[in-house]
Amino acid sequence: MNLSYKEKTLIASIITTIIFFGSYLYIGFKNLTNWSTKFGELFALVILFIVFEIIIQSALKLGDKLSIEDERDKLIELTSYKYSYWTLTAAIWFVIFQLLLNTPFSKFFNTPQGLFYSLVLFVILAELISFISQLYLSLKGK
Amino acid sequence: MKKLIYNNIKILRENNGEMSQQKLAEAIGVTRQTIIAIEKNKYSPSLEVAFKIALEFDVPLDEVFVYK
Repeated sequence: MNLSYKEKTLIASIITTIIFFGSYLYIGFKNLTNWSTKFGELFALVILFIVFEIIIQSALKLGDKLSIEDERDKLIELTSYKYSYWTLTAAIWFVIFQLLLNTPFSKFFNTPQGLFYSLVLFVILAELISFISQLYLSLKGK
Repeated sequence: MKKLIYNNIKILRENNGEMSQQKLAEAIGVTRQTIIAIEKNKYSPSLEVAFKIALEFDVPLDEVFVYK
């Protein structure tokens, strides 16, 4: 398959997001009971993720002489933000209703650690939806 | 019946010395994937790109794109 520069960077972003934040969330959800403030860890992870993304995208740019983004890429990006927004909104409403209706899940969101990791999960999920929908629309030939 | 924008880019490329999609993409500053999508009528380009394609083949715009 002949992929464009944009499609290659999207695949790289999906993989790095899953590896970096997936492992962070896995460890976080596993150790919910002995939780302490994790702001420093999250901040370091985001910095590391950005640096890693820059390195990968620079490497892809070097290997691709036509590393451009055109009007179709920008249109696809805008459409994907819409899906990302819907995902995040649905997730926030999900948490609100769990707390309002006092469902069995609400106990989970009532703890700071549960709410913290859930919010991180929803943000990452929205980001992944954005990347995946961009890749799908790009390959589909929107 | 809903009208659609069709195009003759593939024919124009063939008539211009079998110009490749890649070469056309480079000439007008878009990706090859965009040319593929336009040719398959899956994407309608902006007026700017449409005019660039017409200029590249040195034909009027309505010879490249047809609204029917």
